[in-house]
Amino acid sequence: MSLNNASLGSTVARQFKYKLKAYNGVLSSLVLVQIIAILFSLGGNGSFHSSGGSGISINATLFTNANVIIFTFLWVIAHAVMMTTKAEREHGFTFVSNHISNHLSNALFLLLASVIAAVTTILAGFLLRVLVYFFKEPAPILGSNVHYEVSDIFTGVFSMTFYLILLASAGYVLGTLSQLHRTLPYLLPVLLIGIFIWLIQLDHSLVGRGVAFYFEETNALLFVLKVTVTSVVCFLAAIMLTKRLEARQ
Amino acid sequence: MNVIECEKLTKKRRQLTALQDLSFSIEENTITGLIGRNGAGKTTLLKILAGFWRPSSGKVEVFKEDPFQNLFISANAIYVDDQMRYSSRLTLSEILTEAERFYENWDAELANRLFDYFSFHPRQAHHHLSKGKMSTFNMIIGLASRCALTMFDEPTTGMDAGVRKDFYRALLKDYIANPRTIIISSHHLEEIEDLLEDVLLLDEGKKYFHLPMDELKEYAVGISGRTEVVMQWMANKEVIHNEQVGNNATYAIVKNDYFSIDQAKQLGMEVSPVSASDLCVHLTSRSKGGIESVFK
Repeated sequence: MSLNNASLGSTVARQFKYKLKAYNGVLSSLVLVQIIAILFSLGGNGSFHSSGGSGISINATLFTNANVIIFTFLWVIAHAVMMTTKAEREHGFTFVSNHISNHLSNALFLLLASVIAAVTTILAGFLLRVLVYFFKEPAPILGSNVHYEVSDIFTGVFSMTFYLILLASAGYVLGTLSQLHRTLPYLLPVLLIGIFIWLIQLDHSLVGRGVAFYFEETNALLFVLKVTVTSVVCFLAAIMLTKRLEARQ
Repeated sequence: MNVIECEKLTKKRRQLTALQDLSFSIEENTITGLIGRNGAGKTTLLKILAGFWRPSSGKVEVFKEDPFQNLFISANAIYVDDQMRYSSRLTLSEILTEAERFYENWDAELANRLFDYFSFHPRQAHHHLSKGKMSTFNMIIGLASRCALTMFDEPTTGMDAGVRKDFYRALLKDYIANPRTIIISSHHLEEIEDLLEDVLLLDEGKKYFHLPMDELKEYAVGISGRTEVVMQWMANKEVIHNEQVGNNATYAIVKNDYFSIDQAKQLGMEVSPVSASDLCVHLTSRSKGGIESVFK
């Protein structure tokens, strides 16, 4: 029988295609999560009421898709962690594969999921506006006649994609780490929160600066660079962590 | 060419030694039976050969390469057991389509014919299959993938007698048409002994022997006769097993040192061949007296 050579590239491509089928529930759950977030947003995220002495009163309600963004962040983290669980890891070794091809195909899947989620998140903002306009507020909505440049939409999708990639990679490497020992799924969150509190006590602004490092970067190129480097480091760490891990236990 | 070479292969899992100083080699295009009691280390060995597990010490080579986490080995060696899991999103026919994309030598025609023969429903979910049906489906994957090294670990779990027979027949036919290296671990040696060319017998993680089937069939003979005659005759021979049958008769399995069978017959003893399956069970039995000794 002739022997076949399986290159890493072709194996990753095959596994990625397999995962598109195996994880199509992940994308349908995205739709569900965002619909729920939109429903929550319909109540308004904040309201403002003012009545002056001259008999004029102003009511303002703020509608934003912040809920959708936060829900989508949680969604991508949850799925990144889910992909590293034992059951899913075992699925990764069903056909021709090794650890590296498994991680890389997972990375590709999370990348695609991030792009799709970013597009639907930004579009959900417009959907929310339309829903409020037709069903909620009879009064004119501030911002309803504001003209949006297509480039603004693309900027939104672009930055959302990279935020999602960042969170997915972080979730993935933490999930992988927690698989190394059976106590870690319980210990790791405790440790992380402990370190978090300790850091805040150490220096109030430290955590804020850490968040600002990624979330307040105004230079697009620098932002992409920061996220890309962080994600690559996360996935390399995941590969290194599982290098000696045995499959099909 | 040797497809598999192991030298002093040892595998420890926590305190337990699953494999100990195992040295053997398996030639290309042979069918080897991996035989041993429960917990003898059969699954451990196969998972190491498939590249899933890492040996604790010693050397293992499959197609001249270290199998652990090796893509080349993964592409050319398939390990089939009853723990194979697929995404619950895929139907049976979709699993076959996926497998075809992964395995270069995949024989889609054979897969589809077997699929129809065993009357699977294309839209069925793998995790809803019964135990026997699941084993049958996994067997189809194992055969159709046409991997140069194909390993079946207890492939007949849950299969009924008819399906087991069909499986052995299908395996033999496909092996003759497309020779490759096959290892089957099984408790049913009597069912597969016509299929096997070699037998590797493991006992508590160690190699007991690795023999061609023909030699194994002549490895020992069964002797039965009056107890005192059998006992006296056995005195300077290697006895593998002996038991009382009836009032004053003994049956013994004795290693075949090419002693005079005629002499034994003249003494009024009956000489019979011992099946490979019985022999392996007795060779690896834990204590003299068997289960009977528990109830004394």
